[in-house]
Amino acid sequence: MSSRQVEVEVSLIERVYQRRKEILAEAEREAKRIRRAAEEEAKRIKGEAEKAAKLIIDRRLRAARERILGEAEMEGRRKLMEAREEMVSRVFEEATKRIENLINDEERRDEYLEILSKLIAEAVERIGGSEFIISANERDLELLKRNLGKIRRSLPSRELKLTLSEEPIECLGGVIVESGDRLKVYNNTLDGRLLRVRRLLSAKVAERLGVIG
Amino acid sequence: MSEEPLISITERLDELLREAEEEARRIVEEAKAEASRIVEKARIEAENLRVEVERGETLPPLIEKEEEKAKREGEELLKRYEQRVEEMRRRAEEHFEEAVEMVVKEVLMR
Repeated sequence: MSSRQVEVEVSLIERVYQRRKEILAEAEREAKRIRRAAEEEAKRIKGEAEKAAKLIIDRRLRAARERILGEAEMEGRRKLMEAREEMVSRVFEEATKRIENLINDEERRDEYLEILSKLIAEAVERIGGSEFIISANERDLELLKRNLGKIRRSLPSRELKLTLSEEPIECLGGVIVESGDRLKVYNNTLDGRLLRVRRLLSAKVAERLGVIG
Repeated sequence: MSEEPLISITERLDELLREAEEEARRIVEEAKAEASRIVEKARIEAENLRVEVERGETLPPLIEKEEEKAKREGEELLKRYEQRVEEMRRRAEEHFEEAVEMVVKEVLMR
């Protein structure tokens, strides 16, 4: 074998070994790239699953939290509303007591008679016409009988015919006025007025008490 | 005759390269198989997590903890409402007299 031949052989062997090295290195690089891509994909899959799980968990935790806090909120609002109602009721109870005291106070008879006159005047004006039948409880009927002339004189028109009913009604005080033909009725008893005032002015009373909002 | 050793060595070198390529293919195929196992394992774990969460198996301790926290907050909330109620009662007491007078006047047409 000539030295030239040996040189060629050595060179060939070196090139082949170099190429072999490159092939294996390239394969290792490719394998590494594939594993890395797989790990990234696995990470993405797990990440998405954890995100979805977190969403479900958060939703359930939020629901549990909202349920408990919602109940507490409702309970709080209920207490507030009950206290408000209680305060407003106390006002009406006290007002009723004071009205009863006035009605039963012999020394304030004139004051009460004046109130009865106003109640009759309002009813007469609302019903209209010229003839009226007035009903009241036993005590007020007596009072009205004794003062009917005075009441008639206090009304804007003196041409009106006022008749007192023979049958007493059950009420705290005040009057029920009917037209002469009994087709129109105006309930101006104090009980009726208390109910109306309660219906119409509860919000205003609450506002006056400072218990709104 | 003089070229015979060279031919022989060329064949051996070709064989070496073929082996290297074969080895390279094996390395890549192994990596692909491992990649499939990695991805498949992740999919199974993800599915298990989904099922576990859907069934609520992991939730009770978490929910209990959250409920405890919410209960404490709820108690605080109620306390604040009770304070508002007290404040409201105090304010109402201050204006009680004028509110009663307003109703009495309205009922008695004063």
